[in-house]
Amino acid sequence: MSGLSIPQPGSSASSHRRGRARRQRNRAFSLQLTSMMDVLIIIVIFLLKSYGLSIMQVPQEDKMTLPVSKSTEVFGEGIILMIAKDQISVDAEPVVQFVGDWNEAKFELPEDAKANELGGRILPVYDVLKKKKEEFDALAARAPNPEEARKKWTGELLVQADKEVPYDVIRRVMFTAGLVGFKQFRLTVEKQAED
Amino acid sequence: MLRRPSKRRSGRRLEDIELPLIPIMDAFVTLIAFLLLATSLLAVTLIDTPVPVVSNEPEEKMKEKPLALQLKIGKDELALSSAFNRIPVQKFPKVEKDYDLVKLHEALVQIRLQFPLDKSIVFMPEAEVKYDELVKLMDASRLLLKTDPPLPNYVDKEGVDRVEQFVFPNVVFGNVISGN
Repeated sequence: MSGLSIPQPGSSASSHRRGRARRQRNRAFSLQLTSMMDVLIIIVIFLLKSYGLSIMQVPQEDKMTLPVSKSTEVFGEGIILMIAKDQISVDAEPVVQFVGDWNEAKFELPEDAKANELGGRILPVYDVLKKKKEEFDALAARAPNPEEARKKWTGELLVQADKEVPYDVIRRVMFTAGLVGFKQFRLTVEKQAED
Repeated sequence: MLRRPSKRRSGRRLEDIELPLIPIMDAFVTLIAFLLLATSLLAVTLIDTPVPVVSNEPEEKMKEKPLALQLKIGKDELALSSAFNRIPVQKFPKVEKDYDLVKLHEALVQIRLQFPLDKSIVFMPEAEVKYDELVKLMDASRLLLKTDPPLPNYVDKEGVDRVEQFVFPNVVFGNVISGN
Protein backbone atom coordinates (compact mmCIF):
# COMPACT_ATOMS: atom_id res chain seq x y z
CA MET A 1 0.00 0.00 0.00
CA SER A 2 1.43 3.32 -1.00
CA GLY A 3 0.73 6.87 0.09
CA LEU A 4 0.04 8.27 3.49
CA SER A 5 -1.59 6.15 6.04
CA ILE A 6 -3.89 7.78 8.55
CA PRO A 7 -2.92 6.67 12.02
CA GLN A 8 -5.69 5.29 14.15
CA PRO A 9 -6.43 7.09 17.38
CA GLY A 10 -4.40 5.49 20.14
CA SER A 11 -1.82 4.04 17.72
CA SER A 12 1.87 4.72 18.25
CA ALA A 13 2.06 7.12 15.34
CA SER A 14 -0.78 9.18 16.71
CA SER A 15 0.66 9.39 20.20
CA HIS A 16 4.06 10.20 18.76
CA ARG A 17 2.59 13.17 16.94
CA ARG A 18 0.64 14.30 20.02
CA GLY A 19 3.79 14.04 22.11
CA ARG A 20 5.59 16.28 19.73
CA ALA A 21 2.78 18.79 19.91
CA ARG A 22 2.85 18.63 23.70
CA ARG A 23 6.57 19.18 23.75
CA GLN A 24 6.12 22.20 21.54
CA ARG A 25 3.42 23.52 23.84
CA ASN A 26 5.62 22.87 26.88
CA ARG A 27 8.40 24.83 25.34
CA ALA A 28 6.13 27.83 24.80
CA PHE A 29 4.73 27.74 28.33
CA SER A 30 6.49 29.65 31.14
CA LEU A 31 5.35 30.65 34.64
CA GLN A 32 4.76 34.36 35.22
CA LEU A 33 7.08 34.51 38.21
CA THR A 34 7.51 38.28 38.26
CA SER A 35 3.91 38.95 39.31
CA MET A 36 4.12 36.17 41.92
CA MET A 37 7.26 37.80 43.27
CA ASP A 38 5.37 41.10 43.56
CA VAL A 39 2.66 39.40 45.62
CA LEU A 40 5.22 37.72 47.87
CA ILE A 41 7.07 40.97 48.47
CA ILE A 42 3.82 42.72 49.47
CA ILE A 43 3.01 39.90 51.90
CA VAL A 44 6.51 40.05 53.40
CA ILE A 45 6.28 43.84 53.86
CA PHE A 46 2.86 43.52 55.54
CA LEU A 47 4.12 40.78 57.85
CA LEU A 48 7.28 42.70 58.70
CA LYS A 49 5.11 45.70 59.65
CA SER A 50 3.05 43.64 62.08
CA TYR A 51 6.01 41.63 63.32
CA GLY A 52 6.08 41.57 67.10
CA LEU A 53 9.46 42.53 68.45
CA SER A 54 8.40 41.93 72.03
CA ILE A 55 9.51 38.66 73.52
CA MET A 56 6.74 38.86 76.09
CA GLN A 57 3.95 36.37 75.63
CA VAL A 58 0.43 37.59 76.27
CA PRO A 59 -1.80 34.76 77.43
CA GLN A 60 -5.15 34.79 75.68
CA GLU A 61 -8.42 33.86 77.26
CA ASP A 62 -11.57 33.24 75.26
CA LYS A 63 -13.77 34.43 78.13
CA MET A 64 -12.14 37.85 78.16
CA THR A 65 -12.23 40.87 75.86
CA LEU A 66 -9.65 43.56 76.49
CA PRO A 67 -10.72 47.20 76.31
CA VAL A 68 -9.28 49.32 73.50
CA SER A 69 -6.92 52.21 74.20
CA LYS A 70 -4.82 54.75 72.32
CA SER A 71 -1.97 54.34 74.78
CA THR A 72 1.46 53.73 73.26
CA GLU A 73 3.49 52.20 76.08
CA VAL A 74 5.29 49.03 75.14
CA PHE A 75 4.61 45.72 76.73
CA GLY A 76 6.51 44.76 79.85
CA GLU A 77 7.17 41.72 81.97
CA GLY A 78 5.97 40.62 85.35
CA ILE A 79 3.35 38.60 87.17
CA ILE A 80 0.15 38.54 85.11
CA LEU A 81 -3.18 38.77 86.90
CA MET A 82 -6.10 38.03 84.65
CA ILE A 83 -9.75 38.86 85.37
CA ALA A 84 -11.88 36.95 82.89
CA LYS A 85 -15.68 36.59 82.83
CA ASP A 86 -15.55 33.39 84.87
CA GLN A 87 -12.49 33.59 87.11
CA ILE A 88 -9.43 35.43 88.38
CA SER A 89 -6.11 33.77 87.59
CA VAL A 90 -2.49 34.55 88.38
CA ASP A 91 0.15 33.53 85.83
CA ALA A 92 -2.47 31.40 84.01
CA GLU A 93 -3.37 29.45 87.18
CA PRO A 94 -7.03 29.80 88.28
CA VAL A 95 -7.35 31.35 91.74
CA VAL A 96 -11.00 32.35 92.25
CA GLN A 97 -14.13 31.39 90.34
CA PHE A 98 -16.90 33.98 90.07
CA VAL A 99 -20.33 32.99 91.33
CA GLY A 100 -23.00 32.12 88.77
CA ASP A 101 -23.03 31.60 85.03
CA TRP A 102 -20.13 33.30 83.28
CA ASN A 103 -22.35 34.22 80.33
CA GLU A 104 -24.16 36.69 82.55
CA ALA A 105 -20.81 38.29 83.45
CA LYS A 106 -21.81 39.35 86.96
CA PHE A 107 -18.25 39.20 88.32
CA GLU A 108 -19.57 38.29 91.75
CA LEU A 109 -16.95 37.01 94.17
CA PRO A 110 -17.82 34.17 96.55
CA GLU A 111 -18.45 35.42 100.10
CA ASP A 112 -15.68 33.28 101.61
CA ALA A 113 -13.14 34.85 99.22
CA LYS A 114 -13.73 38.37 100.52
CA ALA A 115 -12.00 39.44 103.71
CA ASN A 116 -14.19 41.10 106.30
CA GLU A 117 -12.13 44.26 106.69
CA LEU A 118 -11.80 47.76 105.28
CA GLY A 119 -10.77 47.46 101.64
CA GLY A 120 -12.04 43.90 101.32
CA ARG A 121 -9.03 42.08 99.94
CA ILE A 122 -9.57 38.90 97.94
CA LEU A 123 -8.12 36.17 100.16
CA PRO A 124 -7.12 33.54 97.54
CA VAL A 125 -5.49 36.23 95.36
CA TYR A 126 -3.68 37.60 98.42
CA ASP A 127 -2.34 34.11 99.25
CA VAL A 128 -1.08 33.44 95.71
CA LEU A 129 0.54 36.86 95.30
CA LYS A 130 2.14 36.61 98.74
CA LYS A 131 3.54 33.21 97.82
CA LYS A 132 5.01 34.68 94.63
CA LYS A 133 6.61 37.49 96.62
CA GLU A 134 8.02 35.02 99.15
CA GLU A 135 9.45 32.88 96.34
CA PHE A 136 11.22 35.96 95.00
CA ASP A 137 12.53 36.85 98.46
CA ALA A 138 13.79 33.29 98.97
CA LEU A 139 15.63 33.39 95.65
CA ALA A 140 17.08 36.80 96.48
CA ALA A 141 18.30 35.50 99.86
CA ARG A 142 20.26 32.76 98.09
CA ALA A 143 21.93 35.23 95.69
CA PRO A 144 25.60 36.20 96.28
CA ASN A 145 24.49 39.72 97.12
CA PRO A 146 20.99 39.43 98.69
CA GLU A 147 20.55 43.18 99.18
CA GLU A 148 21.19 43.89 95.49
CA ALA A 149 18.97 40.97 94.45
CA ARG A 150 16.08 42.27 96.57
CA LYS A 151 16.30 45.62 94.82
CA LYS A 152 15.39 43.86 91.58
CA TRP A 153 11.84 43.49 92.84
CA THR A 154 10.02 45.93 90.56
CA GLY A 155 6.65 45.46 92.25
CA GLU A 156 4.90 45.54 88.89
CA LEU A 157 1.69 43.63 88.34
CA LEU A 158 0.28 43.25 84.85
CA VAL A 159 -3.49 43.36 85.08
CA GLN A 160 -5.48 41.92 82.18
CA ALA A 161 -9.19 42.42 82.69
CA ASP A 162 -12.33 41.94 80.68
CA LYS A 163 -13.81 45.24 79.57
CA GLU A 164 -17.06 44.55 81.45
CA VAL A 165 -15.38 44.11 84.84
CA PRO A 166 -16.79 46.58 87.39
CA TYR A 167 -14.41 48.88 89.24
CA ASP A 168 -15.24 47.18 92.54
CA VAL A 169 -13.40 44.00 91.44
CA ILE A 170 -10.44 45.95 90.06
CA ARG A 171 -10.27 48.01 93.26
CA ARG A 172 -10.21 44.86 95.39
CA VAL A 173 -7.45 43.39 93.20
CA MET A 174 -5.42 46.61 93.48
CA PHE A 175 -5.91 46.74 97.23
CA THR A 176 -4.92 43.08 97.62
CA ALA A 177 -1.81 43.47 95.49
CA GLY A 178 -0.89 46.68 97.32
CA LEU A 179 -0.99 44.82 100.64
CA VAL A 180 1.45 42.22 99.28
CA GLY A 181 3.90 44.88 98.14
CA PHE A 182 3.10 45.61 94.51
CA LYS A 183 3.72 49.26 93.75
CA GLN A 184 2.77 49.62 90.11
CA PHE A 185 -0.15 48.30 88.10
CA ARG A 186 0.25 47.93 84.38
CA LEU A 187 -3.19 47.72 82.83
CA THR A 188 -3.01 45.63 79.67
CA VAL A 189 -5.26 46.91 76.88
CA GLU A 190 -5.70 46.34 73.18
CA LYS A 191 -4.06 49.02 71.09
CA GLN A 192 -6.46 51.03 68.99
CA ALA A 193 -5.59 51.23 65.29
CA GLU A 194 -4.18 54.62 64.37
CA ASP A 195 -6.33 56.94 62.24
CA MET B 1 23.55 44.11 7.27
CA LEU B 2 26.60 44.74 9.35
CA ARG B 3 26.09 45.95 12.93
CA ARG B 4 28.50 47.38 15.33
CA PRO B 5 30.03 44.75 17.66
CA SER B 6 28.72 46.51 20.75
CA LYS B 7 25.16 46.42 19.46
CA ARG B 8 25.50 42.78 18.50
CA ARG B 9 26.63 41.92 22.01
CA SER B 10 23.92 43.82 23.80
CA GLY B 11 21.18 42.35 21.63
CA ARG B 12 22.32 38.84 22.35
CA ARG B 13 22.60 39.45 26.08
CA LEU B 14 19.02 40.74 26.37
CA GLU B 15 17.71 37.55 24.89
CA ASP B 16 19.87 35.28 27.00
CA ILE B 17 19.54 36.80 30.47
CA GLU B 18 16.93 35.12 32.62
CA LEU B 19 16.74 35.95 36.30
CA PRO B 20 16.79 32.84 38.52
CA LEU B 21 13.58 33.73 40.35
CA ILE B 22 12.79 30.29 41.76
CA PRO B 23 15.44 30.29 44.54
CA ILE B 24 14.42 33.83 45.46
CA MET B 25 10.81 32.66 45.69
CA ASP B 26 11.91 29.77 47.88
CA ALA B 27 13.57 32.23 50.23
CA PHE B 28 10.47 34.43 50.32
CA VAL B 29 8.15 31.52 51.06
CA THR B 30 10.41 30.47 53.97
CA LEU B 31 10.49 34.06 55.21
CA ILE B 32 6.68 34.31 55.05
CA ALA B 33 6.27 31.12 57.08
CA PHE B 34 8.67 32.43 59.72
CA LEU B 35 7.02 35.86 59.86
CA LEU B 36 3.54 34.35 60.08
CA LEU B 37 4.65 32.40 63.13
CA ALA B 38 6.16 35.46 64.80
CA THR B 39 3.49 38.00 63.87
CA SER B 40 1.32 39.37 66.63
CA LEU B 41 -2.07 40.09 65.16
CA LEU B 42 -3.32 41.58 68.42
CA ALA B 43 -1.39 44.68 69.38
CA VAL B 44 -1.27 44.98 73.16
CA THR B 45 -0.25 48.08 75.06
CA LEU B 46 -0.07 49.23 78.68
CA ILE B 47 -1.40 51.96 80.92
CA ASP B 48 0.61 52.46 84.10
CA THR B 49 -1.02 53.43 87.33
CA PRO B 50 0.78 53.49 90.67
CA VAL B 51 -0.61 52.22 93.94
CA PRO B 52 -1.80 55.16 96.03
CA VAL B 53 0.29 55.52 99.16
CA VAL B 54 -0.27 57.35 102.40
CA SER B 55 2.78 59.34 103.34
CA ASN B 56 3.84 59.60 107.00
CA GLU B 57 6.33 62.33 106.25
CA PRO B 58 5.54 65.84 107.51
CA GLU B 59 3.76 68.03 105.02
CA GLU B 60 6.14 70.02 102.89
CA LYS B 61 5.85 73.74 103.33
CA MET B 62 4.79 75.16 100.00
CA LYS B 63 4.14 78.71 98.90
CA GLU B 64 0.74 77.72 97.59
CA LYS B 65 -1.44 74.65 97.92
CA PRO B 66 -1.17 72.02 95.20
CA LEU B 67 -3.86 71.47 92.61
CA ALA B 68 -4.65 67.85 93.67
CA LEU B 69 -7.02 67.33 90.75
CA GLN B 70 -9.82 64.83 91.37
CA LEU B 71 -12.25 63.23 88.96
CA LYS B 72 -15.30 61.69 90.59
CA ILE B 73 -16.76 59.12 88.21
CA GLY B 74 -20.41 58.59 88.97
CA LYS B 75 -22.99 56.48 87.18
CA ASP B 76 -24.50 59.49 85.44
CA GLU B 77 -21.88 62.23 85.46
CA LEU B 78 -18.27 63.22 85.96
CA ALA B 79 -17.20 65.86 88.47
CA LEU B 80 -13.83 67.54 88.16
CA SER B 81 -12.54 69.36 91.22
CA SER B 82 -9.46 70.26 93.23
CA ALA B 83 -8.92 68.92 96.75
CA PHE B 84 -7.76 72.41 97.78
CA ASN B 85 -10.40 74.31 95.79
CA ARG B 86 -7.89 75.71 93.31
CA ILE B 87 -10.44 75.39 90.50
CA PRO B 88 -14.25 75.62 90.43
CA VAL B 89 -16.04 72.26 90.33
CA GLN B 90 -16.98 71.26 86.79
CA LYS B 91 -19.63 68.63 86.06
CA PHE B 92 -20.06 66.68 82.85
CA PRO B 93 -23.34 64.74 82.57
CA LYS B 94 -23.49 61.66 80.35
CA VAL B 95 -24.44 62.17 76.71
CA GLU B 96 -26.56 59.28 75.39
CA LYS B 97 -25.35 56.80 78.01
CA ASP B 98 -21.67 57.67 77.40
CA TYR B 99 -19.38 59.96 79.34
CA ASP B 100 -18.66 63.28 77.64
CA LEU B 101 -14.99 62.57 76.95
CA VAL B 102 -14.55 65.49 74.54
CA LYS B 103 -15.63 68.14 77.04
CA LEU B 104 -13.69 66.47 79.83
CA HIS B 105 -10.54 66.44 77.70
CA GLU B 106 -10.95 70.10 76.74
CA ALA B 107 -11.38 71.07 80.39
CA LEU B 108 -8.31 69.06 81.42
CA VAL B 109 -6.13 70.69 78.75
CA GLN B 110 -7.19 74.13 79.99
CA ILE B 111 -6.40 73.15 83.59
CA ARG B 112 -2.99 71.80 82.59
CA LEU B 113 -2.23 75.06 80.76
CA GLN B 114 -3.19 76.91 83.93
CA PHE B 115 -1.14 74.60 86.18
CA PRO B 116 1.77 73.39 84.01
CA LEU B 117 3.68 71.73 86.88
CA ASP B 118 0.85 69.45 88.00
CA LYS B 119 0.84 66.13 86.17
CA SER B 120 -1.39 63.93 88.30
CA ILE B 121 -5.08 63.27 88.40
CA VAL B 122 -6.86 61.17 91.00
CA PHE B 123 -9.76 59.00 89.81
CA MET B 124 -12.58 58.27 92.26
CA PRO B 125 -14.88 55.86 90.44
CA GLU B 126 -18.04 54.35 91.82
CA ALA B 127 -18.11 50.57 92.26
CA GLU B 128 -20.35 49.87 89.22
CA VAL B 129 -18.25 51.78 86.66
CA LYS B 130 -16.98 49.38 84.02
CA TYR B 131 -13.30 48.86 83.24
CA ASP B 132 -13.83 49.79 79.58
CA GLU B 133 -15.20 53.19 80.62
CA LEU B 134 -12.29 53.70 82.98
CA VAL B 135 -9.80 53.02 80.17
CA LYS B 136 -11.57 55.54 77.93
CA LEU B 137 -11.49 58.13 80.73
CA MET B 138 -7.79 57.42 81.30
CA ASP B 139 -7.11 57.99 77.60
CA ALA B 140 -9.06 61.25 77.66
CA SER B 141 -7.11 62.41 80.74
CA ARG B 142 -3.64 61.30 79.67
CA LEU B 143 -3.19 61.66 75.93
CA LEU B 144 -2.57 64.96 74.21
CA LEU B 145 -4.27 65.12 70.81
CA LYS B 146 -2.84 66.70 67.67
CA THR B 147 -5.65 69.24 67.70
CA ASP B 148 -4.87 70.39 71.27
CA PRO B 149 -2.88 73.54 71.98
CA PRO B 150 0.78 72.74 72.72
CA LEU B 151 1.66 72.39 76.39
CA PRO B 152 4.78 73.99 77.85
CA ASN B 153 7.96 71.91 77.56
CA TYR B 154 9.40 70.29 80.67
CA VAL B 155 12.91 69.48 81.85
CA ASP B 156 13.48 65.78 82.59
CA LYS B 157 15.71 64.24 85.29
CA GLU B 158 18.76 64.49 83.03
CA GLY B 159 18.17 68.18 82.44
CA VAL B 160 16.99 67.77 78.85
CA ASP B 161 14.21 69.95 77.52
CA ARG B 162 11.31 67.69 76.44
CA VAL B 163 8.10 68.30 74.55
CA GLU B 164 5.09 67.43 76.70
CA GLN B 165 3.04 64.67 75.10
CA PHE B 166 0.55 64.02 77.87
CA VAL B 167 -2.12 66.11 79.54
CA PHE B 168 -2.09 64.36 82.92
CA PRO B 169 0.27 61.39 82.58
CA ASN B 170 -0.13 60.12 86.14
CA VAL B 171 -3.54 58.62 86.79
CA VAL B 172 -3.98 57.32 90.32
CA PHE B 173 -7.02 55.53 91.74
CA GLY B 174 -7.72 57.33 94.97
CA ASN B 175 -10.44 55.24 96.59
CA VAL B 176 -8.71 51.87 96.47
CA ILE B 177 -9.07 51.32 100.22
CA SER B 178 -12.44 52.84 100.97
CA GLY B 179 -14.15 52.14 97.65
CA ASN B 180 -16.24 55.30 97.79
